[in-house]
Amino acid sequence: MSDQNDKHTEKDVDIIAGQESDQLKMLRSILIGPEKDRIAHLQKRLDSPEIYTKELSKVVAEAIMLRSSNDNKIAQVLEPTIANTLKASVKKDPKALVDAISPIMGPSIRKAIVNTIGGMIQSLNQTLEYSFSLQGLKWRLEAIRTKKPFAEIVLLNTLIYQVEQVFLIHTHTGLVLQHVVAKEVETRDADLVSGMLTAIQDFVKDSFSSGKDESLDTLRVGDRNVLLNHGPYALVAAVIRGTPPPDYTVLLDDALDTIHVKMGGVLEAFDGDAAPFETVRQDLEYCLQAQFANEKKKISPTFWAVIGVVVFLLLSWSVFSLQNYYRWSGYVKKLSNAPGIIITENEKKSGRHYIAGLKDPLAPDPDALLKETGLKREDVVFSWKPYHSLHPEFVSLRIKNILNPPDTVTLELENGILSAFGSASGQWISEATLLMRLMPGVDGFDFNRLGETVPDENEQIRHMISSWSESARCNALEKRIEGTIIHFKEKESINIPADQKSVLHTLLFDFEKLFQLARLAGKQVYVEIVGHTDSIGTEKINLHISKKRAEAVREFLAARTLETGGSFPVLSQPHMCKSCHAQRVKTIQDNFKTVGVGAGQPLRKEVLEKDRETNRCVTFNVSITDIVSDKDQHE
Amino acid sequence: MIQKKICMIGSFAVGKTSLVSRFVDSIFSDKYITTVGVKIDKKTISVGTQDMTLVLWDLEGEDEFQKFRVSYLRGTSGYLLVSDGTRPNTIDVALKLQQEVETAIGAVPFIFIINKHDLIDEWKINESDIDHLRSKGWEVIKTSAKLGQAVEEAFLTLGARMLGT
Ligand SMILES: Nc1nc2c(ncn2[C@@H]2O[C@H](COP(=O)(O)OP(=O)(O)OP(=O)(O)O)[C@@H](O)[C@H]2O)c(=O)[nH]1
Ligand SMILES: [Mg+2]
Repeated sequence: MSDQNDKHTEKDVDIIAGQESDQLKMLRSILIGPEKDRIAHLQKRLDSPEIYTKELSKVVAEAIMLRSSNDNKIAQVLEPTIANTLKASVKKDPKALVDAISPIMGPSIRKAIVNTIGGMIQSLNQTLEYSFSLQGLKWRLEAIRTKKPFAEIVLLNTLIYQVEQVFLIHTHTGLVLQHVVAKEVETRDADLVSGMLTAIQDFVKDSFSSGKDESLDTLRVGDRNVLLNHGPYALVAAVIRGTPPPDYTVLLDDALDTIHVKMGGVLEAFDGDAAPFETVRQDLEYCLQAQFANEKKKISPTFWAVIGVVVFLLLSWSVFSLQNYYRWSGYVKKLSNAPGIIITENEKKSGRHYIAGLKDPLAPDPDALLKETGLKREDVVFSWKPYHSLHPEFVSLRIKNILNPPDTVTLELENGILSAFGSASGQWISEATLLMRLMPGVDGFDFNRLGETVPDENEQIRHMISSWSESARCNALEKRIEGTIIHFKEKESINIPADQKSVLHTLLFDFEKLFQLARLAGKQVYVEIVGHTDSIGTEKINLHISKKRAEAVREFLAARTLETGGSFPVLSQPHMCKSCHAQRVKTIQDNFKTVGVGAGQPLRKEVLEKDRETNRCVTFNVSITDIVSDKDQHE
Repeated sequence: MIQKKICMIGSFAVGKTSLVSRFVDSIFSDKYITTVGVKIDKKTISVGTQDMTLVLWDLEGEDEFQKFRVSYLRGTSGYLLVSDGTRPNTIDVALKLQQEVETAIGAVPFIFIINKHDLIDEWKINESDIDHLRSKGWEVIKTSAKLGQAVEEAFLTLGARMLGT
């Protein structure tokens, strides 16, 4: 039964299955018939490259855009292919590439060529133009006189402006990244200049600037302007002689921008290696601009005519005077030409000559001169008043004595203007500058040309920094010195105790510094060394001991400074003969006065022995005054 | 070539300028000419196979009354901290300055210099003071700008330190 049953069941199932699959098929075709068609269509699209490509082409650009905004993969993947393609393309037909890039290369090549040739033509023109003209002759003389190359003189006289150097400086460290110099410009070490420029900016920022974003934009050193343009990581500094057009700074800005774009990452990570910045040389070189004047001034014929007339008049006058007053006027002329003699009156009365005037003690003797002419002494009445001559020869002599110029300096006095040529140390120049203000017979001075031959930027810049703050520092040093006390522990002793010597040692450096700074600030320093005693003993003896203590301290300071070649008291009178020992000792005595006040000005009220010990001492009073010039005194 | 900015730091008259002149120009003068502001010099040295240019900022000596110009330190790769063996208080000033520098620009290599070794008889500091400095892990070098003693060594050691060797 069960078998039958089973069979039946199997069959049933079969039938049901058969029925079902047919039904399902129908159902399926009813339900998903349209989709099936679409899938078949899709399959066809995928299998057919033509259609697929067509489809992809619609979105490929957007896809690349999307991916590129996410990462750099596409560029990396395509790079070798594109490189190969370019290579292949150039191999096949270089002309296509040339055509494509010539619009970019053309102008820059042209610019380079024009610059080079332009520069050549310019200097050739100038040299030719000025070599043979009257102007040129004048400048040749100037060149010989100032011992400078002719080309430089031409340059100086025809220049409107020239950018001599351009620095690219790393803002954070102040180190030079790149430095370019115009042709034929002499320069100092770029590293040092860059350092000093950075130091100055730091100083100015510290001292004057209120906001964080304020920075130094221009700077004057001698006759040069320095323009500074600041970027986020670097700055460009252009050293310019003359005045550049106002839009020049735009040029600098452009260069700085370009450099920041090109080198942004390298700048940010800079750690002392400037080699990569070789690539921005050209950008900086483009900033080395210059402009020259070409106008020629013709001397008008009237000028020559006037000169001619003047010369003619002079000639006839002197012939006339030779004829009429041969002897006498010859003599008077001789006298008035003699340095240090000024004739104020010259009369002939009843056959006798009366001559009155001023005479410098250094002037030649009028009697002796008279003898040479053969005139009779009895015919002449002299009346001389003594005076200090401003005759250039005398003034020159005095100037030489006082300034004591080094061999490298030539001084020239003309119309009361003292000019210096050659070279000298910055220190000598500043001392000389100070002294010249006090010289009678010198109305002005021109050390500019001297400065140019010694363009020690370091020195000049340091001087600039210092002049801002010397006075303040002097005052601070003054306070410190006045706070110094030398203790004399032993009663009645006038010997400096051994343990006080190191205090004096330090004091010596203080004085050195004070005298130097004071000189820079144009001040004079006087020191009073004050000796004290305790209140025990008679007044007379105490005054004596205290004075001796002050003298002992001065003795120690003087001996020490003379022995170590210290210079402080000497520098307050810089024109003094530095090698004269005796004179130095005298200067020390003039600048350092000693007094003994006994127990008159005790440091403390005396109660214990300890207080008395404190009162046995030496203290210092410092006074800093302006140097008073002769002129000021007369006025 | 690599460039490095280094500073000379220390109390006044300890010999900062003298050390620089000795190192750069091989000269020494007994005369004291105080530095005003800052003076800049440079010298190229070789550390191993590496050439480098030291741009030396010789700063004005620190005095109590004058505020130390921290801005001059910007971008410094190392410094010489200079004191004078004959004046013990210059060591204290150096210690104070070292701290100020570290606060301002962080820790950069430096060498502690005790100068004027030629005056050793007048020195007011002894070996135990020096040991104390060394115990901080600092390099201490005794120099004489006058005789040129250990001057080059000091700069070269600092150069090596800055290269991290
Ligand atoms: N004996 C001796 N004297 C030295 C030495 N080094 C410097 N001096 C002297 O010490 C004085 C000060 O030297 P400077 O080099 O000017 O000192 P500084 O530290 O630059 O001083 P400031 O610029 O004022 O901060 C000068 O008189 C030098 O001659 C040395 O090694 N031995
Ligand atoms: Mg110095």
